[in-house]
Amino acid sequence: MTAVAAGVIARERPLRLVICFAAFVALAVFGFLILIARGTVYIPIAEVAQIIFGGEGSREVHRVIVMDARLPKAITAVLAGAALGVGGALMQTLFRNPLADPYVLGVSSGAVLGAAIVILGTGSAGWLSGLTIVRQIGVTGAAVAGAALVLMLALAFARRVGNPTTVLIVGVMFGFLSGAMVDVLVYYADPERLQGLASFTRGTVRDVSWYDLQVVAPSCLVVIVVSIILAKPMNILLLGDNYAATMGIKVRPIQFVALAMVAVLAGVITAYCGGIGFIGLCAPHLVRGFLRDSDHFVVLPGSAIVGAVLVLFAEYVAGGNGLTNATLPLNSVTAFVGAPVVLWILMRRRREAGQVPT
Amino acid sequence: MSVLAMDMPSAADQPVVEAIDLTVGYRGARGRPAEVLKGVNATLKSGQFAFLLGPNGAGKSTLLRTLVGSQRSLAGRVLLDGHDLARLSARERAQRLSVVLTDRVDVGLMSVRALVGLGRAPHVGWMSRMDDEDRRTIEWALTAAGAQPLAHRQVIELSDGERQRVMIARALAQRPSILVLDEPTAFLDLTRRVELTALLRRLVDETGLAILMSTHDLELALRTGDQIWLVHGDSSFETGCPEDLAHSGAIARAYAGRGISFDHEAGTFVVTAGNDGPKIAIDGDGQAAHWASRAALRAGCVPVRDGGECRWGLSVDAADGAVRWRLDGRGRTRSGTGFETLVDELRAASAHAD
Repeated sequence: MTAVAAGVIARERPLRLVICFAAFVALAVFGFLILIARGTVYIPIAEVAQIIFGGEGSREVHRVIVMDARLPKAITAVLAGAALGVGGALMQTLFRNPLADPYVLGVSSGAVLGAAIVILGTGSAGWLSGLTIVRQIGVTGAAVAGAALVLMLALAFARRVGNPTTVLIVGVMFGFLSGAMVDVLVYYADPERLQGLASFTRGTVRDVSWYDLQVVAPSCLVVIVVSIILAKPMNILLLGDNYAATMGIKVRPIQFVALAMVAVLAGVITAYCGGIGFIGLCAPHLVRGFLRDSDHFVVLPGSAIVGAVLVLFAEYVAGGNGLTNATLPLNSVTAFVGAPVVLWILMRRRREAGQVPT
Repeated sequence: MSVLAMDMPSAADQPVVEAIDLTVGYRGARGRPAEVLKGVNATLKSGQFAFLLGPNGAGKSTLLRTLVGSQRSLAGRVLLDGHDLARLSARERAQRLSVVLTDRVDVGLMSVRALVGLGRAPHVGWMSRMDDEDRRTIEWALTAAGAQPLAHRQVIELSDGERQRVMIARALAQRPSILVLDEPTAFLDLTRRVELTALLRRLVDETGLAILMSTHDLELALRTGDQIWLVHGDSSFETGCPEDLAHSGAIARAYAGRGISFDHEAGTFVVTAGNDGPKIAIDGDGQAAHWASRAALRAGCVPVRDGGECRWGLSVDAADGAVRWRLDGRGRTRSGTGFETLVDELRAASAHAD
């Protein structure tokens, strides 16, 4: 007990931090439970609990809905949200840009393009058709490669232009370019194969099965753990590459590992959930705002939890929640949170407009 | 015992940095080296304050980057605490040498104390967990850099001068044997420059730290430094104590240019408005006479103290704060109050000097 207290004092962690983290976790748990408990089909909460803890439920279809639709959906929402939150925090530090995020900078679009090339391009050749596992890994790998490619291009541009707002525009252009290439591929593609592509552009956590989670869960967990291990060098990178190099940090290898993590998470999440926007952008800013701290030891875990909370609640609003019959694309809900955050950041940085952080 | 005296970083008079036959520059696209400076030989010992001087573009920054290990040397070696710099890991280097750059830092939401705490990075593990020793070092660094009153502030709220102090505190928290600063006074006003230089001087004297600092403040460097490292425009380098380099004319050579000359008395460069103006004998005392000769220089005249052979004679007299002057020459006498009217009159005199 004293050791824990000493630890808290040692890191000068104020009460604010404990309260905020407790609130984040409580919200995540609440969001997780509500996503399992509520849906288009009404199932009493007691029955949901019974099914979760191994019971049969009153009808077989209820068990299937809870165990094979709602549970993987909620788990995917947590994993995707956490990974995107962490990825956004990493990118904002690496790019020295408060608006950096896998979706905004076109990394997700690059992943869609990579996936589209494999899904549509292998139509006539057919060397992947029929081999579901190979195909799945092929699509995921291509998505990761596409994400990595856009990341490298965006970083090259960011180094040249520096101005955060310009980098944002460059990212949007990468997004348009990738989107246009996907459109061209679609135009010439075998119509039967288009079905496989539809979910990519939408962004949803509903289509992920237990089988898919065998890939999604380990990749997301690895990315989150590695990113949190990178907290110390990320803190020092806040001072800029030049300072970091004189403070005992191997700048290039650290940047490489961090970017690889972002490419993996953006690629995997895009391959299974499509492009989910604004989570990586908002979560870190909300955490910094609530905690009033840029320390990555709190921002990275905090962004993971808040990212999960955002996706859970966005999915609850977007998906069948039993209140409305409509189901919306996830991105139209996340944009309601995301777009105001972007505007707020731009307004706040108005005074520094044109000033290039180096 | 001063509050600054913590344990000494290294024993006194030990060479902290040695540059041996160092050639600095860049490798071109095809590996063709572009040399910026050649034959750099210099030694800095603990408890010494060295200033790196030289005209813009002569290679000061390149030399600094090479000395701190951010850039590979083209030839020669740099020894840091007796170890070859190129063989030290980034972490080992950061434990011995810390740097204050001109880069503007934008760390977001971070307290001054947390930023200074980042200076412990080369000494702590991946969790950045700090023990009492680390925390004492942070407080010492804050005090030593005069940043203790800022400790609770947010970094983004600070002025340029305050931010500079905080970055110095962060560098001190690394507990280096040598602190390297790249033009730390560039964005500061005159009084802040003098303050900062005095603060660094005290650090050197009281802790045995070695400091190498590049600057354009020639006068301040000549007054404060134990050593001057002088970079010439022709890619040569020399080092020595300030007085030797000033007396030998090396400093004047390094900055040589049209219309300026090194004023030994002031220890800095002055504008020479052409030495062919009329000679003016100045009579008067103290400050009034000093500023009268400055006014004469500015007006294109050559002031002479107690000269008998001049066609012009100027006498100044400071009474009740106002300076009264009288200018004799060409059979006329003019007089007035204040230097502004004097300069006008002297300009007229030098224009008709022929």
